Amino acid sequence: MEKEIRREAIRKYLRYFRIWFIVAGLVVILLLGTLVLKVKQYNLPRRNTIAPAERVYDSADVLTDEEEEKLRAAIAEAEQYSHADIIIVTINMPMGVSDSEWERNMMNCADDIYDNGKYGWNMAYGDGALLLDNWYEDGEGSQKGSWLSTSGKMEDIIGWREEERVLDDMYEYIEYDPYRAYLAAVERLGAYGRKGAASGDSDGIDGFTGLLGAFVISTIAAAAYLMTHMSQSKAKDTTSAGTYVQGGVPALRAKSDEFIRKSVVSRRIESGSSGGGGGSHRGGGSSGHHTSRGGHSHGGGGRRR
Amino acid sequence: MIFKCRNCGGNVVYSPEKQKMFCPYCESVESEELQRSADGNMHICPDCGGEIPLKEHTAATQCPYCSNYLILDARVEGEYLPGKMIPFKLGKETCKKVLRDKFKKSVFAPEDFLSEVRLNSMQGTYVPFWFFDYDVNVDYQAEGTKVRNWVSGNMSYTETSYYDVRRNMDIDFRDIPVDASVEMPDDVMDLMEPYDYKQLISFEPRYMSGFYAEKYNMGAFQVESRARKKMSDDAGSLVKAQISGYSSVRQQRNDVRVNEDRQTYGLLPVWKYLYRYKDQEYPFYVNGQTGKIVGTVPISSGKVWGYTATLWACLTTILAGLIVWVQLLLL
Repeated sequence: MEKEIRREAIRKYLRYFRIWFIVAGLVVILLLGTLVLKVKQYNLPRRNTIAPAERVYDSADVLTDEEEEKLRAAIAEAEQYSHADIIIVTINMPMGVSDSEWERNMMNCADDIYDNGKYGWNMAYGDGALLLDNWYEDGEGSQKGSWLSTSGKMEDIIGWREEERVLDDMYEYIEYDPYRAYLAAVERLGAYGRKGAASGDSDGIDGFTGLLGAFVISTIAAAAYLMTHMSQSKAKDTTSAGTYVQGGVPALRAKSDEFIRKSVVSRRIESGSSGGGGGSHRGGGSSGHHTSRGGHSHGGGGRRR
Repeated sequence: MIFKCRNCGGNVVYSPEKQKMFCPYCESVESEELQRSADGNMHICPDCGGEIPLKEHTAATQCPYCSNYLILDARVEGEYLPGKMIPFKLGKETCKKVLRDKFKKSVFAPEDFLSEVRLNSMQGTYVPFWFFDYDVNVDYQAEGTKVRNWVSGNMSYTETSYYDVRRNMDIDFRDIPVDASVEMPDDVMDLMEPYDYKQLISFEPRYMSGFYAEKYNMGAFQVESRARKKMSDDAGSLVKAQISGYSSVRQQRNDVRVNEDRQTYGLLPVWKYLYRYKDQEYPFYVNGQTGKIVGTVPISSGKVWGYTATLWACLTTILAGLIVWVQLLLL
């Protein structure tokens, strides 16, 4: 008897949670499947074997040897998960005084370095981005600024907004810590290569916050479930005042509503006042798809500083 | 007294499902034959000779040896003769279904709470009630106010008008029920109401065959205060329902004068299911006519924690899994 009751209890339990078990099982299967797929993808070898291994050309000499090494290591890591070449080039040379001349020269220079090096993760002139950073300034003024040349999938991913984001990250540190600035650019480019434009922009929910959120939501839901099922609706009094009255209604013999007196109270209305708000605005830069002098498609853009 | 089957000699009982006397042995219908016992108090079963364990107020019971239903003549006659009754409309099977339907979503209830074996222990009992009639006159007086607000220029005005409100009404209360059983909890019996009085009939002992019953434990004078309170509360509500349109009403006088009162004794049907769990009793009462249920479901702590923990684990797995999955996709 006791065994039968226990068996029935287990049957009921399994029946009650069957949908939950199925969904949880599917999620676990989905997770494992994706994990296997991602591991395979992550371990894909770089297919371009003709491009040079060098990723950091510090012609402007703004980085120490140690910083260059660290940057190379960071780029190698970012390239592995983004499957895109990332090259940092610093120069110290005049590129033109006028904006249009400066932009044209920076663009051509960046595109040429990329094309001449035959960069690209998947093939020559393939997926990748090159950041050209100019430190030139003379008596006529500053020609400092950066240009981002993109190619292959990075050309598709990085539009004007993404390019601005890369440069914003970089310019936060560029004047006092160039290494940190380039590192920020590498990380952002790596994120774009890995996640695509929309996701790469957002810093997203990190794993710990996400899991903590899941834990909190589950705990709240479980507590709500517990309370809902613990509470019991009590039997209510379903009689009314007229339940035991013959015919359901009483006989009204007399009814009077006599006015006695009236009182009026007046009050002055206090007037009040309210204020307004403000706003802000910011400017932007330029970008565009074009064909380099070497005949290869590039995207990107830049900014003077 | 005992109702025997003319065809097979078995004990004939009243079947609420069939609304007829029914012999469960030969399945004959309306084949009953009344057999009176020399011993009006039925200390000895007239059928098997077994000794019947009777409580002080038992009016109908079941022989523990031969399972025949016996009615104690002396406790349904003379001063204990009920004036009216409502026979059971819900049989045991219907009552089981009512309970199962009501509590099927109580996932934390112990596993055997709604089991066939447990529910079979349910007993149908005719509970003794006193029914009170009151012809009353209510004379009510109150001060009512009507408030009006308006704004003119930079001034706001509040005008309060005062009224002398009077109502006089006759109310004919019929059959206010008050249970006359010490064993039955008063608050539970109050919650069993209302019964449909259209089915009130004159007392017939045959409707008791197949059920338990008590004679009244308390006289009408002992329980009348409860009836008077019900009557007074209802009278107050009815007179107040006649007053409308006021912002506030302050009662000044509420005289309830009883012109005439009467009381009659009767029996009303109640199913009682007593569930024992971890040395505690959980009684459930079901109105034998309407199916209204009063009772609190026991909670199995093992189920509470087991079910909640499972839900939590499943939900955490699903949410955390999806979050990790999204993170993986973004890699």
